[in-house]
Amino acid sequence: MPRVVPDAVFLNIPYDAGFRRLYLAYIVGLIHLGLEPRVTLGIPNGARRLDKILELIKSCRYSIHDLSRVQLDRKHPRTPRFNMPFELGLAVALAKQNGTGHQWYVFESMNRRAQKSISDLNGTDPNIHDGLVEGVMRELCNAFVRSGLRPTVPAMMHTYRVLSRQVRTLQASVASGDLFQARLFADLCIAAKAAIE
Amino acid sequence: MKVECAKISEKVIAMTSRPAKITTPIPTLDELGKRLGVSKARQREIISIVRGEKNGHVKVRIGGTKGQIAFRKSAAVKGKSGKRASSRS
Repeated sequence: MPRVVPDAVFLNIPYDAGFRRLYLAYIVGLIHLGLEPRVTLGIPNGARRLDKILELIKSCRYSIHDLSRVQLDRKHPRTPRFNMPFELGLAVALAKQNGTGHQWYVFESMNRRAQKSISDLNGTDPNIHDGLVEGVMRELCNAFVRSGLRPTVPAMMHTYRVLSRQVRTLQASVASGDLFQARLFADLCIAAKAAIE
Repeated sequence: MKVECAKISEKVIAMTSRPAKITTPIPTLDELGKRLGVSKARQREIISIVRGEKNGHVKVRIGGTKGQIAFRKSAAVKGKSGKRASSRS
């Protein structure tokens, strides 16, 4: 069993261009809250991938599962994206085990859609972000309450604007056209933190 | 069976609808960098990019791909794209 990092958050999100803004919003929001986002970007494809994902979830005290883009893709044959709900299932199973203390949150863009698409979760309230950057930040503040000085959504939005203006420069500095890369993810976390300070 | 299911769903509600109270100290930039495996040199580079922008400066490259990098006031750079920057601000 890997050591649980008390302020680590497993971020279960889609890695695609359409999610770019919300991806940055999650990074900025979590860093503002003094949490450490963790993603599967550094995990290579292969037989051991699932084990590594499970280890990653286990190492995080919290997990966020964004189901807003569990939809049919455009490529033939059109298939829904099962990775996010699958990893949500892993997190729920982990939380059920005694002594883990794992807490999971479902984020969605549309009210009541999760109840339809994954009715086993009926009775739980997903955090609805409306597909907006501000909505993600609002819902992060609803899901995580920091004792003492609490970050505000306007402060998060300010950091988001600073960071989003610098994304291209950061990408260029590592010669990466793809925003969804492990190294760039770490850089974005540092950049968000630097913008806050 | 129904009672069991109800108990399980109550547990699920209890686990997800409550906000998490964060009491751990906020990590410093240095601590975060260490945890994410970002070198000190890279941290400094990122900081200069972000803080340069924050202070109203933009990053400009002086001559060629291996040229120097300087930070200039955004207003001073406006309309001068492609021209060499002559001094640091």
